[in-house]
Amino acid sequence: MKIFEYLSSLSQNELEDLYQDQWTCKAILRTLPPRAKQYILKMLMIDYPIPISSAKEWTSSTSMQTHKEALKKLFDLKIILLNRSYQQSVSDSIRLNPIYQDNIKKSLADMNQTVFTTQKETNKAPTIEALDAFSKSQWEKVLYFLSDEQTKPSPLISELLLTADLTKPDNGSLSITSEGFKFLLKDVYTQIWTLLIVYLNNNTPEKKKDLLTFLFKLSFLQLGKGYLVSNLNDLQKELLMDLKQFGLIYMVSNQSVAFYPTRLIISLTTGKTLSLFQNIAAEREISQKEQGYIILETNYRLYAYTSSSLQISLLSLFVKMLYRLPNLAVGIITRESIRTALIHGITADQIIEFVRHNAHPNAVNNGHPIPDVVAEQIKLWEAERNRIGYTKSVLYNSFPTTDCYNATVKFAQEQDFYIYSNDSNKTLIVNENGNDPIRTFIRRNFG
Amino acid sequence: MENNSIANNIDEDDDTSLLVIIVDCNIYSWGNREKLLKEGTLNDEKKTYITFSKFLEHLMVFINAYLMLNQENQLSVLCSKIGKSEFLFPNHTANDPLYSEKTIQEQILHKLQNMDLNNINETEERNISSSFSAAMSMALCYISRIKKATPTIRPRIVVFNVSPDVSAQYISVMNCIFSAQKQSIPVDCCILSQTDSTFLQQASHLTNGVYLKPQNQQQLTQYLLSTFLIDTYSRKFLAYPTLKSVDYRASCFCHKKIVDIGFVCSVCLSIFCKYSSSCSTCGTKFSLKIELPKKTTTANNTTTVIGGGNQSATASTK
Repeated sequence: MKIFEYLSSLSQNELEDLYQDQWTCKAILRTLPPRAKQYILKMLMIDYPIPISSAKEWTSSTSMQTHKEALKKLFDLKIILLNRSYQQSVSDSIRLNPIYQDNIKKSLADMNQTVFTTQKETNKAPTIEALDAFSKSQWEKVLYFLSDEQTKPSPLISELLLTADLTKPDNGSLSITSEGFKFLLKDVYTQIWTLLIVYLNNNTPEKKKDLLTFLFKLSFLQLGKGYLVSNLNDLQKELLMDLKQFGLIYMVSNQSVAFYPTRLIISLTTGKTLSLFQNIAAEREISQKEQGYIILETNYRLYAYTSSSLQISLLSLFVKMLYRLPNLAVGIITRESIRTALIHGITADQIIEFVRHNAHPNAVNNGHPIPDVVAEQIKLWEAERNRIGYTKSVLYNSFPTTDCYNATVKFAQEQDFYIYSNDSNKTLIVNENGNDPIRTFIRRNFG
Repeated sequence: MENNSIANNIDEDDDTSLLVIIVDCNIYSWGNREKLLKEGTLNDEKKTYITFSKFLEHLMVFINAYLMLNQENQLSVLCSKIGKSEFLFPNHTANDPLYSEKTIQEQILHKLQNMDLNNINETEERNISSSFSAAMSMALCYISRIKKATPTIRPRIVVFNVSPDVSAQYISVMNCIFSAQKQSIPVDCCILSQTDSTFLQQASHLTNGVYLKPQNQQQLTQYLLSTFLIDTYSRKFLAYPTLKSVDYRASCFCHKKIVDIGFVCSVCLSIFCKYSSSCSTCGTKFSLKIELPKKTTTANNTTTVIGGGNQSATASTK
């Protein structure tokens, strides 16, 4: 998730500032992978550091890898703090960040949880469908702008796109960069976060914190309900206006008393489209209709059941489009079309992931959203372009004895530094990380 | 990053679940406990017992934590009272379909707190057992309804139990357990009384659920957060307590007594505590006269198959 990358890049002080807010703590909790969530709750009521070895007992022995990943994520976010012990007899211990722990505890005991005051029921409130349509059209405007230069989004958005290096000035107009191409193929939440993070970085650190907190708070709102603008502070109001341009917030006009969150903003922190409990079946119908439209056959033909010119222009990044019918576009994946995409900086994985994300429900139900043969071929076409790999390395030669040479080669292989060696002229090449260890190894044993 | 289409995210890192909580609200069991606590006549082990209102506090923290874990987590709370069980949440009579998180907790708490008063007059004095089997069947029906709408959801049942087993409900409870097993719905049991529950032991054993009798009920929240909050997805890779020994004793079909040794009809496998010449369930006549074995306390969990025709005389079930 983009947001984790961003949060992990913050310093401990900045993160702890963020953790002062209950809603932020909660929002982060539910964004974490399931295992990390469970760990936090296991440690929640323990107020003293526990030895890191006892954390191992939580997991089954078969999944140590994910166990470590989960812990690392929590360390990165400074949710779990590591107490290094300087005595041999006592092992390192871990504990929850007290600020974070306290806030989660508080929110667990809190029975009356409201984020913002809701507006009284009115008949003017937009329907959920209207909200969905609004956010969709707003966000598509941004994407349209990237994919063809005809349309013009609001100054704020084009400014952001420019700062994010997604577009670059080109003879007075803006044209898309290779980053921009990659951006187009990502899912909508990553796209939004990319822009939001650029937006946040444009602000001062204090403001940044308040804005992030506000964003997290927004994700606790309910779809289809109106919330009063008057209860927000000035900074929040300012952000609200900007979020409106993203299509994340709906307001009838800039002077309206109430704002309506859209599905996008509510699902933003979890990165998963929120489904409404009441009408899941209907929901699924809609989401399938909207999301899955690509059928890719083993003969490299691609059928896109869509009338959206945005989706077609996205596809044409890596597909040679052949025909266009009212509800269907047909294209073919060729070596040339994939190479064009690769030259633009799009990777094979991104293409495959994109097709998989947008596969037609029928293709998904068959179990093959993308045929293996096509996926493999796309990867091969990519590999074609990378026939030479570069590794920074260090060359050792003129070893004093064969023993010394053999021992060093063995050591390098064991430590995973080894790249190449030639026995006849006693040459050894190791990667960059290996330089220091090998030098000390030689010095210690043969120096 | 995550795929948006519902059909695709089966294998993904997804812990969205449907939790059905069955709370034992047997007023006699809770009342009795409260009385004992007030008198202070409890032995050391029972001293950590908690009252109903304290229990509610722990339960609410648990519910809060559950809802906090995932935006899409779904919840249902049932209570099994004396002679009746009902939904506390979702409340089907409420006309407002949209609820906020706040009202979930408030609705449940409101219902649970107001329950004691309106219930006590209705109950007959003789019948003091809670209707666990009814609550269990309601839970399963509810789950199957939700599953129809969202096939990918991972359902789970958590039972909080205080009152003793009712052997009269043996057949219906076992049927529920088997149906839960068939749909792979884990039944987690939290036993708040001193005695183990045979039914719930079997339930959690057969469905791969958690069976836990907290040693120190004052710290119930820690048990709930560290063990009962683990969703079905995370169970694949997290350690959680399971049962070591399970009491498999069955109760007989004729007098609903729990039996160590009994008689089993060779045709329909009904269990009886006394020998009779014909099966009351399927009507098979047992022609063979057999030597009745002496009941011994050491031969636990043994049942005798009554010879129907040329069947062998004894067999042991597990």
